[in-house]
Amino acid sequence: MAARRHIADAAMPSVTMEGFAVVFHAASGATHLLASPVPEILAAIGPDRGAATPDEIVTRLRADYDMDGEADDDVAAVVAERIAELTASGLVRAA
Amino acid sequence: MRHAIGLKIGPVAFRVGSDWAAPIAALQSLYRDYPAPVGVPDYTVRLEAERPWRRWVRPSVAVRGDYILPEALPLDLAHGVLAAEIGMNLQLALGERRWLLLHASSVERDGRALIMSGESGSGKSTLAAVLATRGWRLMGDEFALIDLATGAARAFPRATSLKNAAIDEMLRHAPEARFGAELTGTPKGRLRHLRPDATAIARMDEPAMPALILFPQYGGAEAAEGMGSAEAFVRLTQASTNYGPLGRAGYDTLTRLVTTVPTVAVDYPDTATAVALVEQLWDAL
Repeated sequence: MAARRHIADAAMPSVTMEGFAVVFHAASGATHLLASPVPEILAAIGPDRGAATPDEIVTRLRADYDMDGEADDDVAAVVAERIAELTASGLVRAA
Repeated sequence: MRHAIGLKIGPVAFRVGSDWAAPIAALQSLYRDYPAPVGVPDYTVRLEAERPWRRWVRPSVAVRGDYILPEALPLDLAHGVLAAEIGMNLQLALGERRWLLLHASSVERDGRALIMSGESGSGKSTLAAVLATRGWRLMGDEFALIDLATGAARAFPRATSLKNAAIDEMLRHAPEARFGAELTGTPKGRLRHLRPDATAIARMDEPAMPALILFPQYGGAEAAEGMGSAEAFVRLTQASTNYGPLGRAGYDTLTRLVTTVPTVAVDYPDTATAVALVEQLWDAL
């Protein structure tokens, strides 16, 4: 079965403070403090860039950031875990 | 209601009604120098007998208003002023949507505001009251009102609520005539109100841009440590009574506040040390 594609729930205002992204989620009214690499993953599947599978997210992250020395499988595993958490919190949904 | 008073404190107008004369007379005395409110009050507070016969038999005051906490316990009639204060705080804390409310005291100097946030017992009220005797303008001892559009702090200079040792401390700084009656045996211990000085009342409609945020903590050795924006943000969301209901406006206001205003955590063993520390931090801005 093909991996599911996910997309950020909406464009969310974000302010960076000491490495944390303080993000406001309008649909729930909740504020989230996100630590790296979650803000980067969220940006990679923002409404402007469209839904993506974990493998596609890894490709986008490699284009956005210098990730030499990180194995694809390791990054994909982290992405899959964070996507599951983001989906549970409502910030990301399956497309 | 049988007895009532209108109060205007900063930009907020209250009407306090009571089944008894005594709490209203005490409020009249505490707020005698304040301008009379004009128009419809923003909030109504009612001090009612818990049961009809409790107006006379062991009178106890139930605090009512547009917003109520169902588990709030009635107070002894002798503590009627405290009941009014609790009622006014509650209406503002639960109902206010015009400003971001921070549980904090605030003072102003040279047009800029110092905001001090902390739990009950941190000394934020006493510090603000003492600073007000040293050339600062008292803006408030309980709530700082942050304007959603401009980020400026609005003053809410209600009578300062002093508890226990803070009463004796303030008697060394302010004349007896500015104090209300002492309430003993309240749920907060010994309590006495201090009327804000003439400057605080005359200038209560003047906002001031926040220039420094402090988190004072009474009891430890003297220390001052800069606090990151993220920690300040989290602590101020907890210190705000209406961050959640304000939604995006609260988020925008608070993120702007913590990313533009320096924040320092201050530990102090006594008020004199705290005052010296505050003035040192302020002068270094």
